[in-house]
Amino acid sequence: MKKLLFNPFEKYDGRALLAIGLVATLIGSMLGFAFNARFDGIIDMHFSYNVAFAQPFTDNVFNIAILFFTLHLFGYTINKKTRPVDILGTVMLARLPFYLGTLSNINGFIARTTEAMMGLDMNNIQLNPADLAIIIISSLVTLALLVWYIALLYNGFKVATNLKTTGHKILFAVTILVAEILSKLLFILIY
Amino acid sequence: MQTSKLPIACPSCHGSLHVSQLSCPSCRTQVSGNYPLPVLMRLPAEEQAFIMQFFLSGGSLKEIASQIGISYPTVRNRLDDLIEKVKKLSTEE
Repeated sequence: MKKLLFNPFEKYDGRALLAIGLVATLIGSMLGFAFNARFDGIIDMHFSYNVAFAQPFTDNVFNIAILFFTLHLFGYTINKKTRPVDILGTVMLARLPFYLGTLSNINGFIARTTEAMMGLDMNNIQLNPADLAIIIISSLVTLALLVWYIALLYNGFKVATNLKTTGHKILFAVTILVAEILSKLLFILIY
Repeated sequence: MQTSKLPIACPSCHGSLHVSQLSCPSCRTQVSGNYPLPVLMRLPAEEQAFIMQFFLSGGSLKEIASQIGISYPTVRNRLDDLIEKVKKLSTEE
């Protein structure tokens, strides 16, 4: 079960993962619309109000495209046998935890609380204990989902490229950061 | 009947074993000498089985992947690692 959750790439082929990833992207984008989530960066998700139906879809298309191009470029430099379908399948499936993360904003709770907290005087914070507990639990779940996302990306990339050396592992982390910066720049340019 | 497994490493120092005696099962003629094991014989049994499977499937990684029930890149990585290992063993000779 652990292997299926964190490393399905050893058992399942790029095309199968691509099909699951495509369905996940469609459902995840619809969840983004339903719970007002914006995927404004490859490792970002923020809650807002009145998110347009098309926005989560375009966000995900840009994120998937940037991650795919950066990871495939790096993958191809370390192993010429790297198949684009394996990288694309990895990227699309790995984003599944993000889509599950949208569920934390049911009834717009996180968006409302975040907005309320932004306006608070930090020296005189008074929060309802129940709200505070929900925020802490939600933060921990979000953190766990982020770890799951990175683990899926890393394991998928490792199988697709036969990644082995420590230098390449460090460069993988650098590539993710570069992709994040590129996605942030792209979202600033577009919106 | 359980078939005995050919030992490829010394149980004492883990060095590569050599063949020192061969015998004919029908006439019981024995040949003594000092012959190094061929490169492929120096691989563990499961890696030899993988190479045999690769050969019998006509070199189709996709066929092996569906036979073993693992993904195509996993099979390809296993083969690439084996090629590296065989190359290393060949240069050690």
